[in-house]
Amino acid sequence: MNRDSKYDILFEPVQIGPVKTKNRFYQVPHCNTLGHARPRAEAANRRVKAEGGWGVVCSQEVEIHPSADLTPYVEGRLWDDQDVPQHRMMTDAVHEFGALAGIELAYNASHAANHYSRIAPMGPSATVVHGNNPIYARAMTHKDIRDLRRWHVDAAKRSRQAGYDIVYVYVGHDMSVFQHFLKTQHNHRVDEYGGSLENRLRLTREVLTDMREAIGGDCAIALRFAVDELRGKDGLQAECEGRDVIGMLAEIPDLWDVNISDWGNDSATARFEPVEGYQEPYTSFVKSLTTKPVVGVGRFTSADAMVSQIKRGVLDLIGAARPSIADPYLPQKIDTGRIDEIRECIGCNICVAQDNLAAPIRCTQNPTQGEEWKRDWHPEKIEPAVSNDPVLVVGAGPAGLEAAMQLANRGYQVTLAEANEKLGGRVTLESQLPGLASYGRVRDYRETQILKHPNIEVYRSNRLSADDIIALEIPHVLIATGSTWHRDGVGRQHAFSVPGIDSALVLTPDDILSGIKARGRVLIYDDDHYYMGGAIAEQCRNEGLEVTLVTPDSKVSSWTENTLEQEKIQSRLLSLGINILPLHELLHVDQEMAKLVNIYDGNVQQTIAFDSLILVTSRSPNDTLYQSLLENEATFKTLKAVGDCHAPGTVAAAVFEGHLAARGLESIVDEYQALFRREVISLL
Amino acid sequence: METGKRDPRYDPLFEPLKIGPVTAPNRFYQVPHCSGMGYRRPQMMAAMRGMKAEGGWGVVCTEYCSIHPSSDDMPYPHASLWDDSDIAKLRLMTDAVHEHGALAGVELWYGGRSTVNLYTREPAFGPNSLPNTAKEGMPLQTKAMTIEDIDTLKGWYQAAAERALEANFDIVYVYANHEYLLHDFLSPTINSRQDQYGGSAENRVRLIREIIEETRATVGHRCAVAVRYSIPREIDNDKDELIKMFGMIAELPDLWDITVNDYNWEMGSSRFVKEASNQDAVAKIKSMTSKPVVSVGRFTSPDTMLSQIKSGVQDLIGAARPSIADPFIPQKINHGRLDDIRECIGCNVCYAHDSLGSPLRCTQNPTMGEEWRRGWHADQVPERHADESVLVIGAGPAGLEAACTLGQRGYQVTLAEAQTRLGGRVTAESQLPGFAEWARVRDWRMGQIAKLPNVNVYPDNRLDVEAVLELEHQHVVVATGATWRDDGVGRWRETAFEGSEDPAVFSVERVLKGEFPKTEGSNTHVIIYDDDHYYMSAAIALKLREENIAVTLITPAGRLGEWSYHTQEQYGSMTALLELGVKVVTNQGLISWNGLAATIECVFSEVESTIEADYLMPITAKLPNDDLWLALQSKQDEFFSKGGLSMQLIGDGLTPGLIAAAVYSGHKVARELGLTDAEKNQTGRDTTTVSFTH
Repeated sequence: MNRDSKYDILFEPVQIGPVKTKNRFYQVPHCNTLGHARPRAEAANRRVKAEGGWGVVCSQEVEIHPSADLTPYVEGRLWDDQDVPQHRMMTDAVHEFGALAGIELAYNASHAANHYSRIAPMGPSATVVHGNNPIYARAMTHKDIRDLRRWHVDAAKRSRQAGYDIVYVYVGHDMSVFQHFLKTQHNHRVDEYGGSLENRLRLTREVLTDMREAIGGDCAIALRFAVDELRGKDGLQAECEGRDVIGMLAEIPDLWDVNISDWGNDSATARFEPVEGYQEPYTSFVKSLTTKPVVGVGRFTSADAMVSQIKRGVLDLIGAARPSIADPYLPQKIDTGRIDEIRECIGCNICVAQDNLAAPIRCTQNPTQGEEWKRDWHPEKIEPAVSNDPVLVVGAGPAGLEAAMQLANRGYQVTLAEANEKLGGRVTLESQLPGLASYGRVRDYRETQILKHPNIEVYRSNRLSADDIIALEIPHVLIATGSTWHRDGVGRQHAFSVPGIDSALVLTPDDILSGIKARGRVLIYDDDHYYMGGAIAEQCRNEGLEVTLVTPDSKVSSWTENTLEQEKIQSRLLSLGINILPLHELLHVDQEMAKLVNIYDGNVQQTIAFDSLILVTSRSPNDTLYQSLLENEATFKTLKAVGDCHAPGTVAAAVFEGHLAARGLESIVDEYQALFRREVISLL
Repeated sequence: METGKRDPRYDPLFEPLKIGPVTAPNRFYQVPHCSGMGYRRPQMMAAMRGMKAEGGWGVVCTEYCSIHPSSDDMPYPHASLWDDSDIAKLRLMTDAVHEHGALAGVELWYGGRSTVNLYTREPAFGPNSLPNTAKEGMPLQTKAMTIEDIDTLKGWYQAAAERALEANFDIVYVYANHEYLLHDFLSPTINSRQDQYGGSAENRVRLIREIIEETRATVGHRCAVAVRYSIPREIDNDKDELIKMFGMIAELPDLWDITVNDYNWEMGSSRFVKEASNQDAVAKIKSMTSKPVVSVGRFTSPDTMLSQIKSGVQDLIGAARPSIADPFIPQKINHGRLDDIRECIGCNVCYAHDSLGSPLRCTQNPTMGEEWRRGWHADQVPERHADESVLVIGAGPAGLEAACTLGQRGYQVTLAEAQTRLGGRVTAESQLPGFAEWARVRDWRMGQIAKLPNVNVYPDNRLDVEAVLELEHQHVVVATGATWRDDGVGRWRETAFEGSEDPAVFSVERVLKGEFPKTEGSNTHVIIYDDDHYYMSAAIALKLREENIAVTLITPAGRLGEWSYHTQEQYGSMTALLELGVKVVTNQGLISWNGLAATIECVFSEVESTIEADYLMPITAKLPNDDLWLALQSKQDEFFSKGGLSMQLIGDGLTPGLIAAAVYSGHKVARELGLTDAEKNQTGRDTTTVSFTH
């Protein structure tokens, strides 16, 4: 199909110093935890984006020296010449499709704990390193500053040798040495590198100059800079020093890559920044102070919003991290008039969570993310069907929708049966909760593809029994019937029911999501620790109820620290007037009284009276249908449980399992035979 | 090192022992322990284990070794035998161990609900579908195993056992504790199955029994089959489920590796658990089996070890941490070098680093993890590079280690300490409740230094810059430590709190010197404000309680001592504090102090409140004591013109941190004296190959 001409502007080339990008789609540097430990996976992950039309594809942050070592986090590494071939694989892959390759050189200073190198970290002033490690950074001497400049030049030269077109100086996310020098909170120096803004910016300016001298004829020098930290006067502000920095260095870099800091603000989830382009209020001034091209992010997934950014002179290049993860083919889909095929990022930050867990990137919307080399999965291509057999998929939640869609893409005739009128399963329900509307995109994208796909027939409000399924005589059956929240409190603290639970009228998230209202004094017991407990609390409070949330963990929704949401969730709940009681476990329940106990001290107990008790603890797989079909397993060529009915987990895991099942149908014989490639550790 | 003869008393420790088809050369048994190396760092792992074999351990085991991708503990680098490509990695280890005549054991492992499979994305198996219990608390659950899945699992075990044979292991484990999958099958409080693998004890033990039998069929012609199994710490009666099930399979394996079923106890820090603390429990089940039994108890005393064997509590002396702190314990006993044994202090910094997804390190043994990449030997140092002298200033952990290692290398060393007692921070901290063993950091080094005629120690000798220059040593190493700051600056606060100059702000340094905040004629109440997150605030609070001072602990974190989770201390600290009536207030940052009360702020809502007290004691961060160093730097021209060759700042004076980091820093400066920068940088790195195509 042809591109709508209103999007032509997105496909104009842009000169960036000595290099030129073919269009305005720019994958800014983002971590993926493939990096130095998994270089083939890294190259394949970036390659697919270049293939999908991104004009510029960047690396993640790349350590330039062992004295700033991020272990256990796996980012890029360019410590010495032996690392160059790894990067060459990535740049070759990106260049193959006419895209430019960028590298974000990073020296993480007091953000790095050096668990691997065991070298004492260093930064502008002596300070504790980030996080709660009992490790301190020392204050850099003048020799250290000279060394650091030299390391940057060495790394820049190696970057050029590795084939990069754009080389970054990284001043963002409160994670880099240059930002630490810039910020008065970190820089207490009294020499020419401390005090005035000019002094605090000196190192950045010097390194920009050094790098231009070293590689400026061949590579563009980009400056990634956070203009505001959203901390008011306690941090860098766009209207104060943020603006001054842009003014002072305006024409020095070849490209400005601007954002807000810290990472939680830059990569805000849709729950807290639901509208794309949320960084515009902070970054829109930048273009007025420089003639150099400007790239910025804002979780852009709408082609119209992108055009608006360019036309209104906010940005020259549309930066993206998460949207390029959810859909590496976003540019090509705009280019070929396939707007409705764009798989939009839902802003859940599962991608970020994986990095925080020091594990390879994954994505709720794009199950092929991180699997490009490992399993040879392509986000837009799939192996054709092995036979002409039809397939039945039971359940149209995340796993069932993905499986059905991909099986149809393979060429199978698919029957998709859903017990409810609406498709989407848990995402349809959960997207009604405060802040989670974007989770509906998991359904929307798949439903759109499925409804226009000639190979799929969808049966709504169609609850199938085992006998129904056997009677259909479809040889391949995938069961994706989801899961149900436990009503008895089974979870991490209780492997069996909470004593006395039968005496109380208990609500679960399923009840609330199906429209049942809690009443009066609401007690929520959260032993799940992801978003559900906090979101339900918010919903009940919005209905005017008095809400107390009890959790054995020290914080509300503690796992959302990985998605950069925890602090925001707890702040929001407290500002709404929700009572939070951490570090307590539900001991037993007696009608409308709950006995709680401190997790450290069995003698510290308290009783809370409630009108509604909502248990958010764990889920039971809905596998009755699957289990009864197993009795007739021989009837089927394939009978498989996928998603939450197999093992309850994240939406991302369900979509992944649906995808895996579709790819594997008639192709993978042993379902537990892990068919993936592993990187090879050198034994030399 | 000079060697002597073994005291014949210890002969029983050196008697060989038959374990199924293999024979351990002696009774020293390094039980499986994590290393943070595993599949990611195979050379590092092999050299580390090889060093223990060289040091005399008769059996050296791997860490947990995954049998299948659905048991993937990323980001923690376990060993793996997923397919044949893993065999070569583990052969590095078995070769290194066999080179010294020791047996190599492999701990085959399947995780279940405590692994998150972040790399492989496979759902983990469980007896039923339960939520993940890894410390990450992943929002995912296990897959309840069908009978077919159980057969599949057993197949994986045997495939891995075959690879273990191929990798030349001598002992193959069935790993049935630590809340991994096999343990969950055994557990009556977790296993809610209703088929032949759940319900009665006979049913719950079925899977383990089958795996033991099948493993024997696979490897029994050449390897011993060991079972790692937990029993209760306090055994009330024979009806205990774990004891009953033990009885059912008591004669099945060739070896029992027994622990207690409380990880906080088994791996307890020396603050809470002392040497040989598991042995009452172990003794009770020893009589139930004719097979050899090994068990741990953080044994560092040869006499305690001997009494274990003689009294028949166990047949083999199991060790993880002691073998990390001193890989040469067996050899030192064998050669009559008892006073050279470097005893584990039980700080669990080793374990913490695995818990951080990083290679294991050790407070007492700075060579741990450096055997391969830097070529550091645990019991040997290179000869001095030249006939030169070194002045070491400060006899804390870093200075003592530097002086000791430099002395062993043959340099002429002068060690000057400002205080009358050596040891610096470990001397002070070892006075805190439960911390006595930390003094071993000092004592071992003082013991070594006492044997070195070329090291002269001058306590009570505070040097200023002029004195340093006058001494005219070629090399100066400054190890002057760090001081706790009392202005509240740390992680949550970037600037001093209002009122930090008030006289009722009481420095923790004073407590470490033996002074206490006390109000005449009334009960004293002290607020400790913690933004350090390791052990210090809890330890000081417990110390103040000994003086009958009331304590409220306030921290901006969700838990007190969050980092001490990594060292298995967090829970113990909290229960001890609560027992002594210390009030702990979490999620609150310090705003100000007016002499009578602290104003604090909720870190989430910014709502302020006040707490009254007589004193405020901030424990937030340290400042390096680098005055002398800076003065020396300003006179470096004079130093070099008078024949000085190098000056270096090490330890907490450079960057405050772990005692382990200070000792490491002291060791490194001593090892590297005389090396060129290029030589120092010649270190091995684990890398991923790019030339290989799959």
